[in-house]
Amino acid sequence: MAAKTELGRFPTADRVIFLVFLILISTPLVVLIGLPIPISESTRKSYELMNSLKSGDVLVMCFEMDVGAFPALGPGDMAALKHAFTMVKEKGIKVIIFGTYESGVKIYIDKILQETKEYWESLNYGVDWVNFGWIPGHETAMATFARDVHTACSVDVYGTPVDELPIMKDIKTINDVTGIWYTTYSSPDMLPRQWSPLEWPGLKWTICSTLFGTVSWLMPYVNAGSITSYVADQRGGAEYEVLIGKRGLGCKFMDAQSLGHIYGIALIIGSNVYYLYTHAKKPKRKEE
Amino acid sequence: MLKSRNVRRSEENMEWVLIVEAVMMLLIWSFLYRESLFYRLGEHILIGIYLGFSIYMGIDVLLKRVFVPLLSGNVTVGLALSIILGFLFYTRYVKPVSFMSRWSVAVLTGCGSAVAVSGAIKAMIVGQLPQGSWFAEGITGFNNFVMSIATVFVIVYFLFTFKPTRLLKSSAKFGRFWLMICFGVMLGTFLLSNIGYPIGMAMKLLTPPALYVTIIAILLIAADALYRRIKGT
Amino acid sequence: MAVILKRGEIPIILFTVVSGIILFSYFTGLIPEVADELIGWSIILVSFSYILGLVTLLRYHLVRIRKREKYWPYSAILLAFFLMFLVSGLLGGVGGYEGIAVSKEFKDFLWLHMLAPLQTGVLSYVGFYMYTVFFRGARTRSWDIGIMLITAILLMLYTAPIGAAIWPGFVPIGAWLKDVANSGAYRGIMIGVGIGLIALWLRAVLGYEKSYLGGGR
Repeated sequence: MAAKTELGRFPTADRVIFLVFLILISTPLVVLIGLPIPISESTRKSYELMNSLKSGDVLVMCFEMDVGAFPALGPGDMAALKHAFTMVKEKGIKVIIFGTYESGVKIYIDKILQETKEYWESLNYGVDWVNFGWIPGHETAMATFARDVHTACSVDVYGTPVDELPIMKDIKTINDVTGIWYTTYSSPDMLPRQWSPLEWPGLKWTICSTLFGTVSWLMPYVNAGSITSYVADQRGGAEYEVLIGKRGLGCKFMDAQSLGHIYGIALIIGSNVYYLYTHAKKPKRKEE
Repeated sequence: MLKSRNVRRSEENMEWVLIVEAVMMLLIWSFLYRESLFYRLGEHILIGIYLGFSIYMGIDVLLKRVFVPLLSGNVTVGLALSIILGFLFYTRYVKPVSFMSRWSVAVLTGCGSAVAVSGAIKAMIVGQLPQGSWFAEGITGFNNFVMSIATVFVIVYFLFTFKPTRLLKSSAKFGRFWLMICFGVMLGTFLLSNIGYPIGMAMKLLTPPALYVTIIAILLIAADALYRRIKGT
Repeated sequence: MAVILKRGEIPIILFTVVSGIILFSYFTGLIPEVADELIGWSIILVSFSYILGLVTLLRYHLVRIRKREKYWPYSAILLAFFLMFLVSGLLGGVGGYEGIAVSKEFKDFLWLHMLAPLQTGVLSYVGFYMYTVFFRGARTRSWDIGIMLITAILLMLYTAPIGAAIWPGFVPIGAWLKDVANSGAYRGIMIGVGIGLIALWLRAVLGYEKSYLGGGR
């Protein structure tokens, strides 16, 4: 099946594939199917780790994200934020939010905060939680945060110096942080390299929220203990929503995901059947 | 007094905003039908805004971390040196002194690579070497055994330093078997990540008022396809 | 003096000294304040470098407009949106200073309601292309590709909730493949990557690797 291409457009077969895909994923968004969502062990463990936070514990939520990737990891992050802010109210934990990846992380943080506004509106900013926006430097920013929090987070997103933020008074290094929720849509390597509970005794656990395709990359770190647990992509986000009892975007997307996957499997099987059929039909060359 | 919170007037109830979002998404997605001025328009708007945003964020961080401390007199030797190095970046545009920009690049890359290497040794090499006991209870022992075998033979596959003997070749082949499982897992799990974006977009496009824009776009595409079919192009 | 300053060895020496101090501090625990200071510099240097690459892009588009090259109106649109965002952003408040509220609202609008959907659209292309890969590329030409495709199908049935609805057995099989079989192989890759990182650092220290400096003298 050689593809004939013209400049500026896909082959007809490809365009038909795109169209069928769009129809398949759009159908469940209009007509609710409502397949059950089994909870994976990793998401359950992540939920229990977050739930284990006690009064006075510090939770860092670091987002290595761009707002364009919101559909993939946004549902999970919003569920985690809702959970975190609920615990601020109920248990008195402290929450620190920032991102170190690209400058676009600030938009992403703004967006997820906007979507979860009702959960933090009544909280005391600067005392219960704080937002540092974008801390440039990626891995070096993470390294600086681990060793000297006040240097890395010198001003919050509004320009308030860190010394004027009551929440940051007793947080000097990463050993003063209890747990980290780390979201990334790129490489997860930086988390175990810079913020591993094995290396920093005060840090109890880290959770990595990442794309499903990156989970296989992540598993060796999880097995070694450099990352405690993970939440995978939209599916993990949907599971987390079920666990906190607040179904949202993630759950809505799962039916469309199911149909998309079945379509992918059908294409693989179909193209292989066609290939084997045409391959079998070709006369075999006799070896001389 | 602390600023209270990250306030932004909620615009979700402003329908025209949703229409603008839908138009932007459809401009980019028009490429799936064919490349057109609509797609190019979306592409250049994206790059233009991102360019502006990147410069804005750079200026924002520089003001907060460099110039405000500078103007308020909180200057240390370290800060002064880092500011000088920062400005040296821009000497690349002045030919006689453009060599100085490489000094800043060297310092920045030195920091980054040292941080990466120190983490790599601990997490990527030393952290991966210990394997669980093969004689642990239940299936754990078997799993540990499988993981160890897979690790060893994949490393053998990437050994290019030695002459490929028969043993090395068959070991590498077995390593390739494990690599194929690894790539299959990546391919299978990658799909969920990558179709998450079109699903998110489709949901927005099927919700009124964006739905009306979507319907207009579909009608335009259908008309164009029909026209081209009649014309024979 | 100028000739000495222009020598290509100076950046390599700077690279070596800076990375050497940080690594020395990391492994011995000595002089942590010096290492932390150097790491802190990188945050500031990154902010300076951010503006750098964008100047090149601006120059390219300005030349296109001036020379009226093909598709120059698109470059004009690009620059128009660039200026709109930058000006509204600076007027709307920057560096912790308050600005004009209307300007900030406009900047936020460009941000959230134009940039975000465009970005998501570009990211979504990969999803579509994966299906064309399945259609054209996923053919079992040999045993190893067959293993890869079978594993991929099993994992797809594991990740999607419908897999568990079709047959619950897909879940433990998929989980085993992901957590055990794949982990082992990935460990091997990771060890290789870690060694490669160290080798690359050594090459940079010894002066064999100069691509980060612009590829030459």
